[in-house]
Amino acid sequence: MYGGGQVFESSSVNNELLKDEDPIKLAEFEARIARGEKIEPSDWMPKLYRKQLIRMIEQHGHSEIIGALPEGTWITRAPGFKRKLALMAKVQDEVGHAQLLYGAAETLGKSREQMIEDLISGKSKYSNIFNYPTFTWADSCFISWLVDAGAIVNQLANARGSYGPYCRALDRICAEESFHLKYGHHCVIHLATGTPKQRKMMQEAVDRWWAPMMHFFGPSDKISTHTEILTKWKVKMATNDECRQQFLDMYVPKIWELGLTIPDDKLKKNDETGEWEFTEPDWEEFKRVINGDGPLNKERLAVRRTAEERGAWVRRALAKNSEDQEYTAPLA
Amino acid sequence: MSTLKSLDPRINRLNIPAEFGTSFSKTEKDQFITYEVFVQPKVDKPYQHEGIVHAPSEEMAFLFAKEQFSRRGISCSGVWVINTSNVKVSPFTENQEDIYDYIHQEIIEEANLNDKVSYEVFHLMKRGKQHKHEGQLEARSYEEALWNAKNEYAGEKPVMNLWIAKAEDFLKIEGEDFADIWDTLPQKKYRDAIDYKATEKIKKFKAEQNS
Ligand SMILES: [Fe+2]
Ligand SMILES: [Fe+2]
Ligand SMILES: [Fe+2]
Repeated sequence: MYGGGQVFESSSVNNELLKDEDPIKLAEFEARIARGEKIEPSDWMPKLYRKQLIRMIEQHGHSEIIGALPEGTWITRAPGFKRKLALMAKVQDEVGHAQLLYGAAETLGKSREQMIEDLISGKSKYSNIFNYPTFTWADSCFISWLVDAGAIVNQLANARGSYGPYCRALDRICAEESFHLKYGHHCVIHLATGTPKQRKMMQEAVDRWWAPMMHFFGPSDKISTHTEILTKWKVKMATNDECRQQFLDMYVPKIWELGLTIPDDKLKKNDETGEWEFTEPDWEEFKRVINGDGPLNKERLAVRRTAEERGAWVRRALAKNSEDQEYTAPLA
Repeated sequence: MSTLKSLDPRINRLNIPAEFGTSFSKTEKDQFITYEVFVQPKVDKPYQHEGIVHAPSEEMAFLFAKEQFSRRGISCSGVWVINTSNVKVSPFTENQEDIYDYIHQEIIEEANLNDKVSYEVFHLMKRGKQHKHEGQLEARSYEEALWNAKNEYAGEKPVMNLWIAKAEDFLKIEGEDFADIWDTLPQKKYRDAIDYKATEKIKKFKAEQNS
């Protein structure tokens, strides 16, 4: 899973990187993208394209890994054998998504060791929403259904982007997400149509997760960094607001039909504009959490780091016979 | 030292220190090298490139590849893995040109010839797609393999990129001996969207709400 709200560099940094690119090569590169052809790893590409793609794909990969933590800890407590099997399969998928994404970023020249280092030291970001706690089973159900739904909106858009390896990874990911979405919906329906206690539990989860869900797609277009060039290069395929609107359009009716309420009394679709209106999310909180001060930022990274450190001896033992092997970046 | 206090008892049992600095560094090749993975979805289909795994050996690469690239779907009849460094890669062509048009007899004239061995040849027909296995041939060098590939596989449709590698460099898990590895795939319906039907339940719920 993953959301929008990727952190792109400000335009002054962009301009600096673009300044000394070969204009002929740049024109060929842009013409290729305009024709709808994919860029492959061995092609010439602007430094800025490479840099922003690495950043985006890496953030996406980290989000899959960290996103597996809040759901993963519910596997042992999932109600019943079938739910345990399904949740285990889903969490395995998410970790697999991270592997695919790290592989795609590696084709651009960043090593997997460096990506893991940057995640654990707090240099790279991941989706903000995973810095919030899952108090009950219903929170886990909310993630499986709606956080994944949000991620799908984003991933389907990005799958039409220009970088071949990223698009191929996303096609594979999107195919698996359809199971996550249906499974998550099934779990939520079960609670929402169940006993009063189950209904209450589900409603409380919706109440807790709505604000982070609105943050998930990133700051409103009015206040986010301008990314025209990234749009032209088909790195960014839809704006934060476009993704948020699409999500609301597809899922608010599905939430309401289960008799659940959404904790925003301004939320409604404007029949004239066709746009959803809502209370402006608290973007100060969004910034605070992305900069490390959310309820669980510390815990998520500490858990990830502990796994990395406590598993190091296994990797060292396995590496014994392979130390002299030469590393070559993935081919496609 | 104080330990991390979590909402989650599983986390608490790990006794994780509450404070880490921000420094963290990994050693080079801590994640091993990469292997390219090719999967055959059905016996009569060509092998297709699926992606990479990081692994310390080809046996481990196969195990990871099986988990990563063949755990879904309803069938799989084989997986090949090969150290990325062992794959020779051609340049990409432009404007619908055929890479085989760039391979001329001169390339074999200067080549060092060794014993004849088998090579696997993969074609990419379109940007954005995956490389597919075209066939196996024998040659005494990579150069000769390219020349032979031109004679055997060049056709009407232009090939835009070629991968070529010695057959002996692959670990191939396929055929009768390994058929049962993927036997249980059809039993894992719970991994498929189709196993989760909800329309009836929602309909019933709505009807009850309205009555
Ligand atoms: Fe996900
Ligand atoms: Fe997912
Ligand atoms: Fe995912």
